[in-house]
Amino acid sequence: MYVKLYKKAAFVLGVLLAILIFNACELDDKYPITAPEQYTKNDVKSYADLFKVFWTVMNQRYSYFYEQKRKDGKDWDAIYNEYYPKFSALKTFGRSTDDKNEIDTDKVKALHYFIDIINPIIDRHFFVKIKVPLNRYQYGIFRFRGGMKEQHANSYMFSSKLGYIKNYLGNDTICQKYTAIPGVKNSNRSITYLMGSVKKNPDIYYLTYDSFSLYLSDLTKFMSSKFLNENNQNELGLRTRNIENNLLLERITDLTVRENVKVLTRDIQSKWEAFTIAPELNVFRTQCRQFRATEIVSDDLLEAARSAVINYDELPAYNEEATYATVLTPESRLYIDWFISEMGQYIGNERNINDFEKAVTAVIERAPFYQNLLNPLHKGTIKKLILDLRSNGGGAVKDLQFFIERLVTKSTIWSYERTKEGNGRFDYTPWIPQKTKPHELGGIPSNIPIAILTDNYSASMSEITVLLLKSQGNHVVSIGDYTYGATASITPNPADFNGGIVGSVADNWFYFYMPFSAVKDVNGEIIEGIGIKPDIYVAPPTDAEVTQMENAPDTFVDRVMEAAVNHLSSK
Amino acid sequence: MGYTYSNLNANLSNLVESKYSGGYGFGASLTGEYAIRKPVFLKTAVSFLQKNYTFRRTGSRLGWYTKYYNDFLSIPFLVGVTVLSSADKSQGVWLKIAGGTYIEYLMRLQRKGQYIALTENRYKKVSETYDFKKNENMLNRLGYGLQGQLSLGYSFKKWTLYGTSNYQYGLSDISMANTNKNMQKTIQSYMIAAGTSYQFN
Repeated sequence: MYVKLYKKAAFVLGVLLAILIFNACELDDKYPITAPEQYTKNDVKSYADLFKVFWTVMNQRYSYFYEQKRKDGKDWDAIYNEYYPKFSALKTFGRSTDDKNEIDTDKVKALHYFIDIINPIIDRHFFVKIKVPLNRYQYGIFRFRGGMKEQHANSYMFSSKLGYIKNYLGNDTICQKYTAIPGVKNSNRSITYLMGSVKKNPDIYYLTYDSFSLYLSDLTKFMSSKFLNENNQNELGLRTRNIENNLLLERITDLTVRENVKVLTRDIQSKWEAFTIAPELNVFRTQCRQFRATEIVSDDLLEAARSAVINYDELPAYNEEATYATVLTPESRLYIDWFISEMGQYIGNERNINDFEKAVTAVIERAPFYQNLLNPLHKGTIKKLILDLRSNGGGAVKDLQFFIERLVTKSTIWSYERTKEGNGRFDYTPWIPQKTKPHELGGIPSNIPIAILTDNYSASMSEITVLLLKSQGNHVVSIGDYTYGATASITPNPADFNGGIVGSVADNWFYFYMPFSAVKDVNGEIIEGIGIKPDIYVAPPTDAEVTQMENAPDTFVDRVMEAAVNHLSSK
Repeated sequence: MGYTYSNLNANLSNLVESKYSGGYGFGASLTGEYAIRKPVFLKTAVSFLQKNYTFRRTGSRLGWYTKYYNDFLSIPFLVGVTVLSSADKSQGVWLKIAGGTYIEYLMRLQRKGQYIALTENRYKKVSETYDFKKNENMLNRLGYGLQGQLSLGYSFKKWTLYGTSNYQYGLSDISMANTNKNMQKTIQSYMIAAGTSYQFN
């Protein structure tokens, strides 16, 4: 046996195969794709460029193209094919020779084109601000959003509700506003809530709030400071010898002043020292530990906080010059400045007095929310609940963990969410089920009838709340109007999800506010741009009712509230 | 029957800490070969090929991934030559190379991944069989490409034992919605297999 070699044929086929394999091994990213964040003003030199950058950013990052296509039948390529020539025909962009009328005509056309393109966008969080030339030297910024041509129904605005809802509530009504920093009244992060039992049926407890910032009520974050750490309580930061042998003190030539200032500073130091190990403070520490284990704001905790504050307020103000008025001389100033600095170091850094201040203030300020709502819910003394989310436009997701999960008794799927993944317009992850989780410490012991009040301005986290709570069973009903239909999630870091964008593009030619995800309800229905259908529909307020709720709150009849009270009373 | 190794060619240059990496799978073929004129032959087959790959976030975003398990029915049309063969027609060692094209059909796609469940604030594992009726990702089930093959075998009269190395270079975009060539996504796949064949005169 011998082997026969077919040289020519092998050579030809071998070369072909080699070409095939060589081509296959070429680098994938031969032509880098421009990410939205990489566009600059140099990419926008014409209306056509303006449209193209907008189109491309949407193409890469928008999460609802599949649903969008199903709704209006137009795909994004068709938009490009239709509008790119239209924008290209607008020639005045950036040209200084054109007259104002021409520029204005082009501007109006461009705005109309953008409205036509953006109005059908179903994502109701989405908006984009676009800079458009107004004349030779000036630009205007115009805001576009999905559904911008739609008329919205009247709403039960929060400010109006604050006026008339009190008429429905009993003597236990509480209305509070506080910010992220305990004791500070004005801040860009605040929560205002109103709650109390319903006069007509005191078994029903009512709660409304202006935004999902209830997490600002969370006391746990104020309870874990070093100040409250027992191991730290006997540590001496500012030792007596630092005062006794202080060189700056020795430099005071007037012996009387020297002695007086020494006595005064030792007195201040010892009072602060005594305070940090005072029994009242130990009681407060103990109560804080108990709170962390139970999330119950007891009367003892509140009393301990108040006592600690009283003692604290009696302490000498070591950091105020007036405290040293009797001994302050040019010679003693150096020593006093040193003392204030050392005390600041000791009190502020080693004893974390700021944390203490925040903790006691927070307990006193936020106790009503716990003692009247969270703790009774957990205890089971609130039998029925009205959660009024009308005109509540949403807020922070962490409110789910802080509050909404307290109304959850079982783990169920309540929605599905997906994000972009790869580069294609339709490169989506699978739908990721979102599950409820009962609150670890403060949840309700068993299901209670809950009526969620909604209107056309209940958006985002309000809608998440409706979906989540309704997954718990038929004891939860929504009453009122359809919600707004804005359920997708927003992040300031869209790179985390390969979709969405929040921020400027092309050196401020655009500002995009685009969610990174798409959401569908537990039945697989997309509610974005549609809203959640209420279980019990109550028509939105008429213009006359809106006027009345604002101007004559005492006589205003809230039909949604009436329906909710009637419904819950029958349960 | 043998093993496959596949990857997705995709341009992710505008995405941060994102990459596709290759994955292993299983493959099986029923092959037919017809000698036109020595040493040239035509070859075709009906192949079941798993072309698996993984999308994953890397670096600081490590943790999110999707494993794609694609089951393809592939039909190659190859022309080849016998490079080496024994003088004894019915017995001995041989070496063949072949090249051509293939068409394929994506029968089934299963995705297994891990993602951040935002409202639960944790990673979550998800497994699903892709719904081609909805086809939300606008996947193109029909594909085509180029194929090359190198086979080494030993014949025992009518029966032959052989090993083969296969390479498929996808030319068709896996997405039916993409119009930008720079964003095209194609699959390339290797297969190493062993088999046996029977010669009908």
